[in-house]
Amino acid sequence: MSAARDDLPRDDDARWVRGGHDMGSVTDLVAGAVAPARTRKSWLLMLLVTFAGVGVLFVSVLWLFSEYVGIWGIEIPVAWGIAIASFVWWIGIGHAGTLISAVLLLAKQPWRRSINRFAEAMTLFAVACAGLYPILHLGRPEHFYWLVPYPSTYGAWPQFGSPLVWDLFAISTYLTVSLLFWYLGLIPDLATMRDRATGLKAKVYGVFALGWRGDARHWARHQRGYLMLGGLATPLVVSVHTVVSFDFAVAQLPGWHMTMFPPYFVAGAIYSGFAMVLTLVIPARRWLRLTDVITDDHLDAAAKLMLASGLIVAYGYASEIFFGWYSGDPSELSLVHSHLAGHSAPLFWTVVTLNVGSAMFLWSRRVRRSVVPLFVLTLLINVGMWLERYLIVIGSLEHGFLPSTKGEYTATFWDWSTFLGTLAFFGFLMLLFVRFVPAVAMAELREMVPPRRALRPPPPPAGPEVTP
Amino acid sequence: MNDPPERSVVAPPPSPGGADDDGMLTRRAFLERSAAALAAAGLAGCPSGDPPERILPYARMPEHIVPGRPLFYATAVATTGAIASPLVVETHEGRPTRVDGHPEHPATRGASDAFAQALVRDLYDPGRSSGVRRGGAASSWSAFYGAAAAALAAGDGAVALLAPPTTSRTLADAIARFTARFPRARWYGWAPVPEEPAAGGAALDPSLAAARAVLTLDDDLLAWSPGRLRHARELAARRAAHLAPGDALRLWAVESFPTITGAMADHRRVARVDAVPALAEAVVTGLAGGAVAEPGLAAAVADLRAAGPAGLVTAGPQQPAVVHALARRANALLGAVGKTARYAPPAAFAAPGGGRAELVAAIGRGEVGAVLVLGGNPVYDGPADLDVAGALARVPFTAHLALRVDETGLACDWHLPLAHPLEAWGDARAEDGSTVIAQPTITPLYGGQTAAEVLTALSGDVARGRDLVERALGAAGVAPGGWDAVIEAGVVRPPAGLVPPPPAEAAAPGRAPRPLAAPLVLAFRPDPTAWDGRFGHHPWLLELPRPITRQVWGNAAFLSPETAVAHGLAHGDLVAIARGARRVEAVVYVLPGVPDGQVTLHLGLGRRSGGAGAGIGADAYALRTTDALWVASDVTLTPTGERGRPILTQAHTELGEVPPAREATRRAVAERGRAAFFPEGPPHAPDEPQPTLYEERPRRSPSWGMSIDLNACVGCNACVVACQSENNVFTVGPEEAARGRTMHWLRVDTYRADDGRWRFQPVPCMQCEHAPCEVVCPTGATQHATDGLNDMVYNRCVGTRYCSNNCPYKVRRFNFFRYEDPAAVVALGRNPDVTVRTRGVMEKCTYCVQRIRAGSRVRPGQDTPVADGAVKTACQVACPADAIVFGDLADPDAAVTRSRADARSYALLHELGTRPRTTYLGRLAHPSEALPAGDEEPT
Repeated sequence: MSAARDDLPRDDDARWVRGGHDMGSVTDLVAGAVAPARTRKSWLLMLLVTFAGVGVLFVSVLWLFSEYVGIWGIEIPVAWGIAIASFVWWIGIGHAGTLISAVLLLAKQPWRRSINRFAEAMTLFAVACAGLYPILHLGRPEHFYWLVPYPSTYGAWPQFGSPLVWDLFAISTYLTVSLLFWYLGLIPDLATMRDRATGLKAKVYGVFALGWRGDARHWARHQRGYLMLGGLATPLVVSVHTVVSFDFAVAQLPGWHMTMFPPYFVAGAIYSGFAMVLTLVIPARRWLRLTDVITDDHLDAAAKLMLASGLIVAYGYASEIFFGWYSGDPSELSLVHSHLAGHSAPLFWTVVTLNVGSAMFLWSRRVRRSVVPLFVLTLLINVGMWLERYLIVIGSLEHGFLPSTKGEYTATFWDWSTFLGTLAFFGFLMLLFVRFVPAVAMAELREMVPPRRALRPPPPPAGPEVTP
Repeated sequence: MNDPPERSVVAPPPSPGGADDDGMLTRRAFLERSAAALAAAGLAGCPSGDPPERILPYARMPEHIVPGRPLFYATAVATTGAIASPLVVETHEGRPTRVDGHPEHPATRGASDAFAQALVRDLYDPGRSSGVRRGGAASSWSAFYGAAAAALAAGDGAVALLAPPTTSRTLADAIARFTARFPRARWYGWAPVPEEPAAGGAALDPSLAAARAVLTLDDDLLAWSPGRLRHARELAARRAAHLAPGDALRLWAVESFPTITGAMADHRRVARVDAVPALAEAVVTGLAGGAVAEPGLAAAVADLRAAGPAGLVTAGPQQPAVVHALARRANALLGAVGKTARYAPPAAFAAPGGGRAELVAAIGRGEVGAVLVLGGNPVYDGPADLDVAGALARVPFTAHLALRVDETGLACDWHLPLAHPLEAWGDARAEDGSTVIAQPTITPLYGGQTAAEVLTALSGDVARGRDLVERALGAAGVAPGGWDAVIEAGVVRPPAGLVPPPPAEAAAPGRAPRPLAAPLVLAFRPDPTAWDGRFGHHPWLLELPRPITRQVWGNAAFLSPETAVAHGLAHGDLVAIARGARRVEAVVYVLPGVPDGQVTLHLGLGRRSGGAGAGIGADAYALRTTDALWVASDVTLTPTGERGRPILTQAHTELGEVPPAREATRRAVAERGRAAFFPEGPPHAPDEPQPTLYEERPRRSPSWGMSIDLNACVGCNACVVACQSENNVFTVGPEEAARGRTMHWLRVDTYRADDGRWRFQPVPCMQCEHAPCEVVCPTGATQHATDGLNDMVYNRCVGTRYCSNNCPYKVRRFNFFRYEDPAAVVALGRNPDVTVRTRGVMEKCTYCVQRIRAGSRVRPGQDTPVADGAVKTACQVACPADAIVFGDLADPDAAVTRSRADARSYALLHELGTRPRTTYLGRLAHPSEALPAGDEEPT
């Protein structure tokens, strides 16, 4: 890194950190947020609230396993309900992490360094929430492993033509690679935490730091491994939601049967993933006092990506309607009519307003850099994207082919309690994460700041010089 | 147990109690006792005491019984009235599991209706009473006979017998003997919903077999007539596609409620129930040569006159006698009497004492010392102004013989378990006039007896069961030597002496009453499935979607859209229907095709004690009074402000742009052929080549397929219950049904065309050759069999429900819960050849694969292919109109192959390329040239 004047960005990298930090202070800043002198009451309170939600999830799942899926609002023809809509939503949210870590790593976007750890954690937890649903929604969840190819004595094998089997592979691969990627990036920071801690904490961090000593060889291998994993993870960004979209696109139901579903789903996933990253980061950076490293510039950059993916989503809506009409297929036409001015029109237009309308505000630089409006927009987009999945999954099933088999779906208490339970579970894991794991990649941040900043804070007149 | 060895050696042998010296159980003794306790627990689970008979294992095989092979017995059951359906009962190891029509009897020819199909579940209903009860406490038959003899002696034999109408000579004979023994005994009868409308001592027995033009005056011939099976069959035959347009039957319906008869009509005229007499009069005027003002009616009259003796006018049982007299006059004018319109005295024996009003009056006069209610439920289904329960309470000795402790049972001192029709000996008249024999197919489960047996025992006679039948019929001319053959066949040919006398001459019909002036009338009708309430406990029938309304588990206040708006009511509102102080609440069902200014309520629901049906729906009997049995004008509708929800299995009946149920007029088909059925574009045939990415599979024999003729289907629901009975399909109850989880493998989709006419379309699994369900199942639980069936492997299913989502026909059903009835007795009625599905798995129509496998099982030395017609599905057997054809599509001569090649044949959702094995034949409309087809508004 080259030396430069303090008040100006020294190069492209350094402008992403404010407050004139150097390596030491930035480490202090991040590590201080992880291991505060004493546990903050606000954190404890939120942890208790989300833990209560985890209890709700636990009870919901227990009741589900006792009574089976009949406790949900599903029926014939709407055999998949908000469990599947939520599954797609969670998987979508789980996209931002890998995108930020892997794709932006390969694209050499320096700003990813401030939020990648956070986004990767979010990804892991979102995929964990998503992964619950395919098992929970089975009629006989105790036999879920029949989707796995294993040497059964009966010689029975999964039916590999089914997108649900592809799903299983796609999601488990994604979860594995995301976890590895996250952990690999975390190792140097865990070592930092080990070095700054004492007693049991140091031992626990030490175990997870895998004996990291900051050796040049460590760094070389770490960087190489990280880059390779980034290369491995990049296709997964595209593949996971593509495969999830196959669950629908392979079926011939109007509203599902569309060749544009893979890119449409991936764009939607990135859109909702970034919305969720911002929803979490905006309050978290303030609460963790990390505004110096997660700056308005970061919000701006993320919002720009949201705008881009939001426009693809808008294009998806438009082409869904256009091709429904253009196909001339009576069932498709009837669904288009239902979306535009029929049974599903209120939901469709709400989705369009929330997802496309919200994105339009992001053209404005002022909005992208104003915390409160941006936060509100991301919330609206989160809701909008959930409703979009509701529309795709349930709206299409309610419509169907024959007039006689039109259905009407109403989610039950247990549907909602399971969904809210996963939200709480997600929040619970995020809270544990910010408390025990460095929420920002310190090692990577340190690459962006000068080794030491003698003038900041102003040294005592006769004080000794700080060594980095 | 760690005793030193030397002590063990010297120790005395263990005490018989198995305790060692310390009083502790030894391990061995503990295990012995555990085993003994377990065995004892098993014993305790058995019915108390030794069974009375000596039990033999099947090492010594009972004659005829081969485990796994069913036995069939001919019998007869009167399901909705006095006239019986000749039936064949399938039994497995002594348990009746299935009922079908008697294949050799002209009244059924193997077909049956939903009520007959539902008998098996009725036999094993857990709500049946299990023994004699006195005032709610368990008692016994001997206690009852002792008490009854004392009561009869004390009351000087002044006993009233109250029985529903019967055609049973056995019962009539028993009553005659009883009244001979107790001369002061009186026999009263009643039927809340009569079966045979009588005018001038003659009942009309319509015959469509030779009819060319038929006008029904509010008469639901295809549902509310003892000859419904024959009418459906003859209607289908008289409208067969091959008939020349001038020869095919044209059906004109005037009706006050949308019925399946009206749905089958070529022209349907909606009329308020009280407006029908005037229309009947106009028809008679027209037939007599006078002018008819209304164009629709005039066209009907012209058509009838053109048909002459091939014309027919019928009238509904709920219409007043004058309408029946007018119909008889019309048939006489047509020259149809004795041809299409046969008149005969009513088949049921007349009760000399009169009806319930007479009984209540006699009780009021203190003339009755005892009342024996022999079946029926007069406390529930009585007119609201007649206090039957109060009258019974004043009688010192009352007994009720019934299958369950119902409202009447609760009002009587004694409850006596009735033998179920499948447990009992008896006889009855079939609708063609022949006498049919009922033989038991199982020993009475709960020691029930028949009415004839109870009366015979009370008369001091020891004869029972078959003796009574032989005595009653033998006296009537059956040669006693041939009884075994008669019982095996189930039919007694009417000997010469039994031919009914010709009916009385028709009196001149009186003047028809003018329509009521009231802006709103209340009309009553029997519920299409609960009937008059006799099936108000029956889960299969309560969960059977009513024709046209598609409602399950309840009834509704049916209003036309205009009338609903006029009263400020919307579909689903709860409305209070009041006649003075009598008031019931019902949920509003806005149904097009209901006449304006009329609210219709179905009888038979709102039971106060009815097992599964208790509290379901509104009790229309609470509003029905002696002076207003069918129509009441003093009715008010008051919105309660609350919302209910009629439970529907099909909420949308619009046909859409591409009609799933296709119809074309005979003229259009003659001109344009297949294209007439395709309003949306170019026509297609089921087996046209279609582009595909999949491997083409040649049709090897057998390739099972089905063709359903929409021109024949009358939407009667027999197939739905037949499927339920055959395939152990569970009912789910009202809450689950409201959530769209009914399990019927076969449904009858109902559509309302733009012209207001209803179309029916039975939808089983299409058994697609390119089945969308198969490719998406992650575990391969649904597979394509070599004979083309789309098989379900229940125990491989994990319940992703993806197959259902990808099924365009939505014929797959999912076990969201464990829907099995917990009562063990219900399991006795299940088909042992069909797997009972557990919760969490998908199921669907299998084309009755168990029948296919049984029918095509290769026997030693036999490898001939299965003959066409040798395998019949349950729905096919039940169908009275022979609308369903099933067979091998690879056999060019098979009926199904020929049907599939017909110009009317089409595949549902053909454009998806699923290549369904089930195809349909389009319906033919035959509108009058003078009128556009469809509903006509009164002018």
